[in-house]
Amino acid sequence: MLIMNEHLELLDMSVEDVLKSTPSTIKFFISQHADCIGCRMAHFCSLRDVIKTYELDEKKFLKELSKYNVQTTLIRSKK
Amino acid sequence: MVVFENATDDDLKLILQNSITRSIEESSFFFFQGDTAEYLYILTGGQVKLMQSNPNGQQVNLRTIYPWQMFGALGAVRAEATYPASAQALENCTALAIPSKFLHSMLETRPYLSFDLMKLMTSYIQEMQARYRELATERVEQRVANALIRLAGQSGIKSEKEAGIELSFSRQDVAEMTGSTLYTISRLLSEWERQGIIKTGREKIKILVPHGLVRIAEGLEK
Repeated sequence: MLIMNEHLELLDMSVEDVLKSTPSTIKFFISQHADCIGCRMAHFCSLRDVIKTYELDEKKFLKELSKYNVQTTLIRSKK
Repeated sequence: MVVFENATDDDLKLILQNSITRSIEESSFFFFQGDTAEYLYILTGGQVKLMQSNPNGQQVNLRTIYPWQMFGALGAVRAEATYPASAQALENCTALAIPSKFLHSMLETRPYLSFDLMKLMTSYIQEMQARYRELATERVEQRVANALIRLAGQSGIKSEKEAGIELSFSRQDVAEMTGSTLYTISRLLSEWERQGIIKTGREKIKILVPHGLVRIAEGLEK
């Protein structure tokens, strides 16, 4: 079983999944000045998309996000 | 002239005797929004624009007045009324100015005049209702963007391989969903495709930049 790099997995998570798994991240998105809360496209946007859309610094983004202990939903397995 | 069509000759004479004629040069005003509605006007020549400003200075053109139409009649109905709009001459104009108080006193004794004035006002209201309805549906790009977003939420498929949310709808479908024409939809989608927000194919629309579409839907972009 190959466990993917955790940071990479996190960035591929949709905003919706992040919010569902860890509701406290509402504060996070607001702090990043992203309009994700209440956005109808939250299901379709990954964190990577958010970084790109709002032109955020990926390192700072992840550092701030790490404070929220988001559980990644999938650990992909490869034989 | 709708309001006075049932007037007797004597009544008409009485009205004319108590009225004055006004000549206004192009671009000048008959009255301004907020002025006391001292007179009501019947345009006898030229064209007049009725417009309203909001506190921010934004202007809305309410109506164009043509010869033999009445405007500024609120004062005849309600004492101490102020004009709700400004009346600007689009060309050199002449108009009959009837004192509001005078017509008000005539209204009290001549029922036909009240009814005719009501007919005028209801037709004006109907016109305004139609325009309001049109205005409410005029921002077509917002409606279309909203339709695409709704479709994405209901049946959009995000492909693993390529970026984007796929919608299996044609431009005609979108036109019918939004009460718009194929022409308008094609124009909008082509523009959004040019901006890189979506990609269209036969019977398919793919959303490339959801955020861009949301901004349009919320009226934040042109």
